[in-house]
Amino acid sequence: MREGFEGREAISFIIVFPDGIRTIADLQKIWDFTGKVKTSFDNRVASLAEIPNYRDTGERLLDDPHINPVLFTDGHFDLDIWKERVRHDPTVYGLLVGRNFDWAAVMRFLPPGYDEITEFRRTAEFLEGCKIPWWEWLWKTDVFPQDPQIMVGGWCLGRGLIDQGFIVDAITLVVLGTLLALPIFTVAFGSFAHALLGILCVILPSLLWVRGSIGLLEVLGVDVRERVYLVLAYTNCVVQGVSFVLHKFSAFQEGFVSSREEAWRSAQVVDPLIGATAVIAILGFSSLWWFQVLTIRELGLLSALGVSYSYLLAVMVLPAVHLLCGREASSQKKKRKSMLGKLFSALLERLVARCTWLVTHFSFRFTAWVAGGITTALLLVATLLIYPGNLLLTSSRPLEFVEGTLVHKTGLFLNRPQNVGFDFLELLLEPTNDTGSGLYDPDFLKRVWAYQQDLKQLPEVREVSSVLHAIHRIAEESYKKPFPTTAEEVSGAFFLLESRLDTVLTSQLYFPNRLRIAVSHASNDSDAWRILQEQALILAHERYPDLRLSTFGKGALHPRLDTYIIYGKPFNLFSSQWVIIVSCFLLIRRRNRSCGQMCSSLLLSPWRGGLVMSVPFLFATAAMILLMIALQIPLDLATAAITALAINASIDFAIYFVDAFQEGLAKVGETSAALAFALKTKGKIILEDMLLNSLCFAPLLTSHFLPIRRIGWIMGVMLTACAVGTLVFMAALLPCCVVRQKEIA
Amino acid sequence: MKTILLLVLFFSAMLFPKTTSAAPTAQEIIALAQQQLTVPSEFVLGEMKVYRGERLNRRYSFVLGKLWDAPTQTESVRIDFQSAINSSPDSSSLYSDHRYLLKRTAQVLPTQWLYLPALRRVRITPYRPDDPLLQSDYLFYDLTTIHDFSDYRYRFVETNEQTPIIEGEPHTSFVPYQRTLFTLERRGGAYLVTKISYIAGGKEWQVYFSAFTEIAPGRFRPRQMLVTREGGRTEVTFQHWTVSDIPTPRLFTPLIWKPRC
Repeated sequence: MREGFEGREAISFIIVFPDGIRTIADLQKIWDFTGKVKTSFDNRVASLAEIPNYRDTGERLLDDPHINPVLFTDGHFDLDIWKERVRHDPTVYGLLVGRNFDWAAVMRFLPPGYDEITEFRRTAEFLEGCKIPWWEWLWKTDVFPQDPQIMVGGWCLGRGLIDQGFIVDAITLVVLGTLLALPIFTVAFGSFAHALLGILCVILPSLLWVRGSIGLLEVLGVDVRERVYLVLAYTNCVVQGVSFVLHKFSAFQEGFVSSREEAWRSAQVVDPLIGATAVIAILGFSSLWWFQVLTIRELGLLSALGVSYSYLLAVMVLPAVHLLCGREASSQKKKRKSMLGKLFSALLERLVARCTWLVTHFSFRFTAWVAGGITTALLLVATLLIYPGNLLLTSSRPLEFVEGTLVHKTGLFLNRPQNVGFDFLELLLEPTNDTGSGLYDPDFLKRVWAYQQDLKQLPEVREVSSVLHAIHRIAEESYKKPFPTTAEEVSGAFFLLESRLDTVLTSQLYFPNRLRIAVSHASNDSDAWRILQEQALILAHERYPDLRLSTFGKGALHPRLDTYIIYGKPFNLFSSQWVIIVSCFLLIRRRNRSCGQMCSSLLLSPWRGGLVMSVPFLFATAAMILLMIALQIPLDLATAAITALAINASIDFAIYFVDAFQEGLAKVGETSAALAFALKTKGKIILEDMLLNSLCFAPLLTSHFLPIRRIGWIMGVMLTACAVGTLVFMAALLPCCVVRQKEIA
Repeated sequence: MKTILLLVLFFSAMLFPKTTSAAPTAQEIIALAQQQLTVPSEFVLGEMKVYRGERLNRRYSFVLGKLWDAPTQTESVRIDFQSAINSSPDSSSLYSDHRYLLKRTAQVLPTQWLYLPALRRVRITPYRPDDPLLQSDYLFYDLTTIHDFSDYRYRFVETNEQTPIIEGEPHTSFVPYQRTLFTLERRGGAYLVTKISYIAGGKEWQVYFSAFTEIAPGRFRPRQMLVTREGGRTEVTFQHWTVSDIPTPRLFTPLIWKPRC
């Protein structure tokens, strides 16, 4: 941002007149509401009752606004004449009053250095006409104006509502996550005490620590904030926590003979696997740090921290607390399964049996070719549909984040045909040759005015506004010409403006040598904003080479975010994938060494195995891309974050499966039997894990934000695809990675 | 008889001495401050710098003239701004002169004229007391200083005779402030206002006057004025004051203003 230029935001209060402005009482309402806004906040307000309506009678220079107290006592007031006058004033018509006179806006420009949450809460209290107690803010997700005719717009309010939604989401997520995890653990362990311990010692502390880390990181100078997508980091804590606790307690129960000390000692056998899963997850999330979108970087950092906390809590704190507080008897309880549990178990076993049949019925070579072929074909089709096909939507819809709220309703209202539009594309114009007299140079102003007129002709543009409308009006009234032609005239026009307008207002409209133009558009799609931005830039480049154009504001930001996601996501996928392959390679090699001491001569090739362990993820990614194309789900910040979470899930499945496969090879020394062994011992657990993880993401379905709700069900589909990828496609390819010991040597 | 005479003397002593050597009231101190500002004609050359935060936002050179017409009790204030045509606030290569003239009689709204060189004519413009003077922290209301003193009812906040603090409660409808605190300083027989604190709309701002010089016998004028407000400040330097006992009404007659060649 240029020095001195303050491209800040405004809060727009919209007074709706369903039957149009019909009486003087309607004008009085606008006048009164403007006064109320000024009294409650400050004088930085623009409305029909505030913006000067310049008129020069030759003797008097009048600048009373269109609505002023004189009207209310004027016995001969004619509303139609008044409307006609407003229609001829481009500074207000269409911008501060609807073209059909069915709404009027009172815009409040925010003061320098404002605190967004404070302003949001002040505005909410102003609209609701009462002081909102602190505890109400814990669940408040919308603003309910006292006067039903009043609506409110502006992203300051939008972000405030997002913040509120986030608080409520975080609380809901913690409560629902705990409520879901508790019965799952109870069924899995057959012990309520173990379930409670798992939640109290791992899941809840990891959530708390992640939240506390935000403050700690801020103290350390790392600027991390609590934003919407942080809900995903919290979800990840629940998912990883559930997984780690499950593995840890399962190992404990398997190793229980006589005492808890012994059982926990023997349960340490599972620690390296949990550690490996944690390390791969941390590496995967860390790779998000190189993403150019701050929100995703924060998500990566906090998710990585969440995984480390879950690991530490599951491996170190859980056994210690259990030894200190647990009862001996409770550990000896056997799992008791209900009828439903038995049915569920039978269903999973049947599914595993189907998978076993699929991968062992035909020859290994044939099955591997089919599995590899399908995965490659899916990936190829997905890639072709994205790149030459351009079929994957890559746009974001900002209003989806405030869906159902007052701001969303205002957005929809303002985006109706004939209305001004909810968002603005902000342009800053300056002369290419900066002579220092730009703003007072009539030629520069004339060029900007012409550019502004051309902008209006662009398709889908609703309103174009700048200070030049006021300059144009002053010139028409006083100089009797459409635009000032001398520097003295321009100076006079600006002098008049500055005599009347607040500094905060003027500093948002222009600055030495630079002018701001706001272009409104009625779309909620970042793609449409990108097109508008490109058209504005092309227009300036082709027909106004003497003007330098910069874009800023929300309208310009979203297309930029899309670009970062489109180019950043493939890069992130490749950068994280090789890390995973190398990690899997090291894991397989380590396991091979321990297995090598056993009798078997067959081993899993670390490189091939490492590559094949990516198959579940690649299969799931391709399937997801096709699903997103089919259902027209855009690749946005939310869906881009899914892959990071899916990598963890898929690698979690693959590690345990491959570990069992290697164990099978070592024990029986035969590929087919090893595969059957792995499917038998880990197939059901993987399916359970998949269902468990999907359930953990289910609370996201209650989110206030559509993109987050979308993640709730997409993750379920993605996890199913990962499980199929592991139990069918990876399992089918694993026999091809088996080599003799000599070959590895 | 002797007793009666003594009693009369005693009561006389009780009644009279207090009134003869009484300290001035708040109203009287303000009247003294107002009096030392009231001269038939005065001019000052100055410079105004407007800051937003720490950044210089606007800079103007100006000439401020005042005329006090005692018979009609009319205060005329003319301010000629040299506003930069060149857009940089630091630049001084090109200027355009714009003038404001305000005439205020008693506690009624002043009449305001504006001269725009580009128009070569004078226009009557609406007077809005709470409008800031050219993006500064100084209001149009503050220009008519002599009459402004009569817009309040006064009471002491601090009765220190050397540096009294007096609170003013406005009784004129168009005063843009809800409460005003004047800090004064006694200089000989005169009182000088050194600080004014304004409160309006829940916000507060201060005006400091400093570096006073005696420009004529018993007439003290500041060389510096600083207006501080939330988010910014306005610095005014008064470079040269002249006081005249011979009024120059022509300079305060808008219809005969001519463009500068």
